[in-house]
Amino acid sequence: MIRLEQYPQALRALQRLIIHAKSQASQAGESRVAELLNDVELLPEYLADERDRTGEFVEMLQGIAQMNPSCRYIVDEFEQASRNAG
Amino acid sequence: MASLKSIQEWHRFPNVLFVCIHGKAIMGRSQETATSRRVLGMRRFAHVPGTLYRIMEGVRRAKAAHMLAHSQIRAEVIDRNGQSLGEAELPLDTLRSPKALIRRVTPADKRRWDRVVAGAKQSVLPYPPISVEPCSELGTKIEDIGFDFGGNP
Repeated sequence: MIRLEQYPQALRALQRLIIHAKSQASQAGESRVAELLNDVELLPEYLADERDRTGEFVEMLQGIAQMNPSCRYIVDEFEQASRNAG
Repeated sequence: MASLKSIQEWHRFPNVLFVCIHGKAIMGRSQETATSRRVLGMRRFAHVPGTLYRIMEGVRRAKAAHMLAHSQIRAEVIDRNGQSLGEAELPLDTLRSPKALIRRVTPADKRRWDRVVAGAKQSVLPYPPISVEPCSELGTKIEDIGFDFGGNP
């Protein structure tokens, strides 16, 4: 892990990197990748928010899986782990 | 309570403000973001008429703002090297979208769209700045962006 005091900056950096990658994908004509990154870029925001955004995080993951079936296993893995933790 | 002078660093998410005071991260709400930016003196970008900008982040916000009759939107202008050139209120007709359609297929899509529309209904847009970079004419005008309902309009 990284130091707690750097966590917000780290999440912000992660989000900006995803946005940068999305822009690069768009310019390269990789619209499907850009669309995927457009969804992924929101996840760091949910992680950083002081409010409980668990529902939106899960909803976004499910949306990603809906639009990108090859990502389905990632969402399944998350949900299985969440059930085990709960 | 720490004074604004002690703010050393801040970082912002669309809905969350992070302020680092004496090494301790503190979070606040987006309305504080604009205030803090003004206090901290965010660099201003001088828009030159005729310049166009490609949206890197914020197509939904720009489209919703246009649909709700706003004429401009706050934007952070970033150059090709990723360097921030500052913020400006940019006319919506100077913006170009890399995509022609906004997806509204999944429940998450609907939530995102509803959220930006709610913001656009306010007389002053409550959004954090969108991210743009100067570009040529390539791209879709905001008024021409459509919606992808996944075959179920």
